[in-house]
Amino acid sequence: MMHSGLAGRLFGAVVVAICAYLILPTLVVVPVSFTETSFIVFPPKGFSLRWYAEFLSDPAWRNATLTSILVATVSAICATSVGTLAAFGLNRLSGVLARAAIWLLLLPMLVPSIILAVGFYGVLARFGIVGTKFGLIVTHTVLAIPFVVITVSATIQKLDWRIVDAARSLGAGPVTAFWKITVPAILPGILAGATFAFLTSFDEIVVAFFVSGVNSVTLPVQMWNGIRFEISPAVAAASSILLALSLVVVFFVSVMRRREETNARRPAEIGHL
Amino acid sequence: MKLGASIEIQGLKKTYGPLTVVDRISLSVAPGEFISLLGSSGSGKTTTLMMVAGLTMPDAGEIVIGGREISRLPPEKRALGVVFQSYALFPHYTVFNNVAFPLRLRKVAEADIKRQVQEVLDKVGLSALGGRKIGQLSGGQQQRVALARAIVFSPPVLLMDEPLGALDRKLRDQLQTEIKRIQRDLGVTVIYVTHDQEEALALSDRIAVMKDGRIDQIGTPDEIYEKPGSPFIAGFLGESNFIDVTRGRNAGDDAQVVCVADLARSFVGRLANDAARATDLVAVIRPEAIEIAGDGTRLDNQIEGVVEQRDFMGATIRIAVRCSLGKLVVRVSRLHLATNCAIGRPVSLTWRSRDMLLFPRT
Amino acid sequence: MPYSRHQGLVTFAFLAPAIILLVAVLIWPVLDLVGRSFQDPGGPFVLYARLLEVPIYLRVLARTLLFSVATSLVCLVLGYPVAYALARARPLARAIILVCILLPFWTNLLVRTYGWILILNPQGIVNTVLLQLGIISAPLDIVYNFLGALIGMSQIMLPYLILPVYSVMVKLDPQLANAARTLGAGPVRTFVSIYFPLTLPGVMAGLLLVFTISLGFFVIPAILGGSGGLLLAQLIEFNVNTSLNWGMASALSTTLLAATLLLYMIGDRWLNLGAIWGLRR
Repeated sequence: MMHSGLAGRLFGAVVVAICAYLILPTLVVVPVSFTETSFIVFPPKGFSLRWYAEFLSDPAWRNATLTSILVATVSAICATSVGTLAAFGLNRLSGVLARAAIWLLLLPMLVPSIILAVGFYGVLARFGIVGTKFGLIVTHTVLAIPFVVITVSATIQKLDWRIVDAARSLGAGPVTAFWKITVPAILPGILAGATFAFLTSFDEIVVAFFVSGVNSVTLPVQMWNGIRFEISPAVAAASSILLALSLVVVFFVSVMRRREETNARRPAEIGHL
Repeated sequence: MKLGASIEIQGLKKTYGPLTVVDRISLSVAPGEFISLLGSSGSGKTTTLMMVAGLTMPDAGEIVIGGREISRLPPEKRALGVVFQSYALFPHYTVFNNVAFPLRLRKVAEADIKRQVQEVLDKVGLSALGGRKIGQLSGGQQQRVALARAIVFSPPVLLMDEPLGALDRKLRDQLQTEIKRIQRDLGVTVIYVTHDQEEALALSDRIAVMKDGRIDQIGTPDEIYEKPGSPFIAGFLGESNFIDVTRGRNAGDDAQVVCVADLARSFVGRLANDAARATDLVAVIRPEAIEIAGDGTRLDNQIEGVVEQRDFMGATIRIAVRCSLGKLVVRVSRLHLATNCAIGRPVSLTWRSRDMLLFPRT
Repeated sequence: MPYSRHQGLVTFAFLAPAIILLVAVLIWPVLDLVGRSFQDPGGPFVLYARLLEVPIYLRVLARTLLFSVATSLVCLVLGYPVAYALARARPLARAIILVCILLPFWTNLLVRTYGWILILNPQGIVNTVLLQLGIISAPLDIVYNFLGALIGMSQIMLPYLILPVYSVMVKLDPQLANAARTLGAGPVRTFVSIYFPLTLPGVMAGLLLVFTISLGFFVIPAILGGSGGLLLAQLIEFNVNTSLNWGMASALSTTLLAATLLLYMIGDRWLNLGAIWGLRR
């Protein structure tokens, strides 16, 4: 369909408006975080870093951040190892078994997190271990597995298996070939999966809301409390820091993707020389 | 049956940013004429066609079809038949519903639709396939459906954008014949975009060769093949030998020229119109205009060389001869090849001065 | 054959850690929860009978359905044009639109929720601007209610509609719409008869995703929805944390779980959801 003249411009304006609706709630936290006032006004008054200072010095915010980093790092490592292995297993399956495996591996993404949270809370409560970091780490690991499986599977499916065959024909055993050839070839996919796993845990609120006691409050739970009980600009400072983190992550993942594409193209370029 | 409409295009222009894709093209097409826009990709041929169809808005210029100025009308108001390179058949409709689509839009009664669709499916040889889904058809059948859909509402003009581009050679030849037959039956005016010179030569009443957004030359297939307007066209339509030469002395339309590669050699050739004053020239000779002077034939020009390569092409044999000018390609009929032209044999080549066209060198 | 048995063992070894974790952390607790819903002293279906008898439960279920339907429709109306623009835009515009979709998608949910409070609250951006322009004389009531939850939820869910629709649109031949135009169809008719029907698989997949995720969503309704109209996920939370009614919480959870899995199964059967997530088989 052709968008010429007025109709095209109108359509463009509508798309710009919807894009603003999509992105503004994310960006609006930045100007507010620099306000001098101790309550939220718009437009923000003055310029100060006092809320960032508050974020860094208040033990509640600091502990929550450290807890989140710890939980996210450990569960990202676990989810990446388990998920990458599962992606390899999935790649060896076909037919009904493959379908069943896909369903099983995607289940953490499909089940509403409230159900997962309540169910897991019930089990933990029975053993009396609510409020430990261990409980958070295992649930976040499980929640992140689908993202790792999806990202790594996509890379495995694009992998040129002939390079592995070539390594085998040159004398590498299956294990050597796996570690020396296959793993490096799909490393960008694994790293992207690990990044998504980290973010999944770092952003997770519902399970953390139920499972974390006073000793393992994560950053999202701390923000939840900040939003529910006192809308202080400290939440805006925390939000801005998280936003910067997502920017870094999105950038990192897109660089990874590009490198992956370059790697895929390189043999062809050599062929041209 | 309805007769085709005339098309008058005046000063048609399209730019994308700094890039001029179509540069003030003018073209007039007679009712019922089959005209091809021939050019390589980026020559502006498809953009020109899309401007006539109304799918691209021109920056300047007029398009008059059958006396009606249409260049500002939306495509649905132009009522021209268009066949797209990708066929653009609606995958969620059957063959019948694809062809019936334009008739339904024109509020034709359902009984008439049935009859007209059947008629046109008969015409393209798909009578039995009306109930098929598009995905169940071969490429050739899809092409026929696209043609049927474009002509079912009897448009006065049919625009075709590389309609055979995706098909293999044999199917193309077969469909070329059918397109030509249907066009003659309907009397519809056709603008046909292609990059395939053989297709253009076989189908067209006239060919417009396009380059860099302009029409380089326009004429009947014979004219363009025999009197190419430039070395570019001589190379684009069919094969040609190119020899760099400098001018000697004139004799009317003919001129004596000296070869750049071998100053001892001179030939007589025919000057192209715009070569009258130039000194640096390029001589163009068709491979089939060169004869092998085995049996004593001696035409206006002659040179000796050695057979370097010999390709059997079926009806003709293509011979590459290495001589002091470089490599000359000769194409002779298999039946007329008297001399033994094995690789490494010395041969004498000869051709007429009127077959050696002289263009200014650029 | 020993060789193939060996291969099968290797495959199982690859999958085993994931399966063990999933069973221990997801399947067992969820089945445990489902089991509880049938263990009321009064009989296995007592809790479900109460669910259907007590008006408040039915009202919450109805409100949740309404909320999910409304979110799906808003996402369709807003997401379809963006998907179209994304499919047809030149590289720069496309990159900008993609950032607008993906940056929020990968930003902490609470950041976005907080952003919405900043925009919608009585002293927020929308009300400040409208008051200063004199368009309204008193702040609009647009947060801590159904409308606020809908505004926030639709923004969160938009990528789930845009991406499947976009992936169908980019694969469509752009000449199809052109062909319809040259055959005599105006822009509206072309959209209704040709373009929209051909994008329907993506639309259905997107709607199904948005609807299903909205059914069990907790955070946005809990914060932006205020205390007035509870939705299903909040009711489950309320039963667990406040009224300590584990039986009812498990019955409500089981209902939500059954609806969710059923919808995903329909989606997998008819719309190949696996392909949307990039797992082609």
